[in-house]
Amino acid sequence: MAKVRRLKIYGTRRRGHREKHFVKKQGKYRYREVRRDKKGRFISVKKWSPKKPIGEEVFTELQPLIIGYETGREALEKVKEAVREWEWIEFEAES
Amino acid sequence: MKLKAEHEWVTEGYVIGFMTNRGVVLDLDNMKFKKAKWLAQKLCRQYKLEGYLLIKSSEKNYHVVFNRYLTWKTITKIIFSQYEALRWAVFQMPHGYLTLRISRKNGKNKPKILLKIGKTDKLIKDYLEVYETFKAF
Repeated sequence: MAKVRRLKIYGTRRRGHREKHFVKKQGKYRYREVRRDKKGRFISVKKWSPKKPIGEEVFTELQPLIIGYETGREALEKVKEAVREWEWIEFEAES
Repeated sequence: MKLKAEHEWVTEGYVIGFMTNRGVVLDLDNMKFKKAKWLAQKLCRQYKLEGYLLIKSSEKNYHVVFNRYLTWKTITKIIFSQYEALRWAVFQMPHGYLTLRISRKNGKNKPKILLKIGKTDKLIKDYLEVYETFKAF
């Protein structure tokens, strides 16, 4: 069996911000977690409920994403997917 | 005044790093090419590391990847034996693995391979595989 190797993706990232969306029927999900790029263009949307506990939203480069892979092609696919899942934001160090 | 040895945070986007705990990799900052090469050669000979890859990450900053697979204990011993790599080692060791950047960072270009010396069939092969795969990043 091939040995699992790892890659690290680091930077400042956050989950999509929440927007209140109008829905005709009074359904369970009236909130949506929306991700947009730097220019404000829509990327993706997923359901979000206020009942859901709020997890950590912003992660710095000290909390990197670790990607395990066996082949180069697999690594590329996994990295592309992981990068797409997050919103990468600008960060300025205070000191 | 900004110190040369200060950590450079990722200010925009993301960076991809090659991680390993199976061999020696070094990040040599604020150093001339001649000294980086001398250091790589010296370590390669002293610890029988089979071969090395010298990479330029930015002006006066170099990365070195050695070919031989080693235990974490040996890696620690080798890295802490080098004064030039001490600061980097102190930051990397607590994580339990070593990381080298393989993509662009804060407007700096992707690292560029300068020298390939000796065998390249183990850790260097692993490094080159991801380096080639992430050519466009």
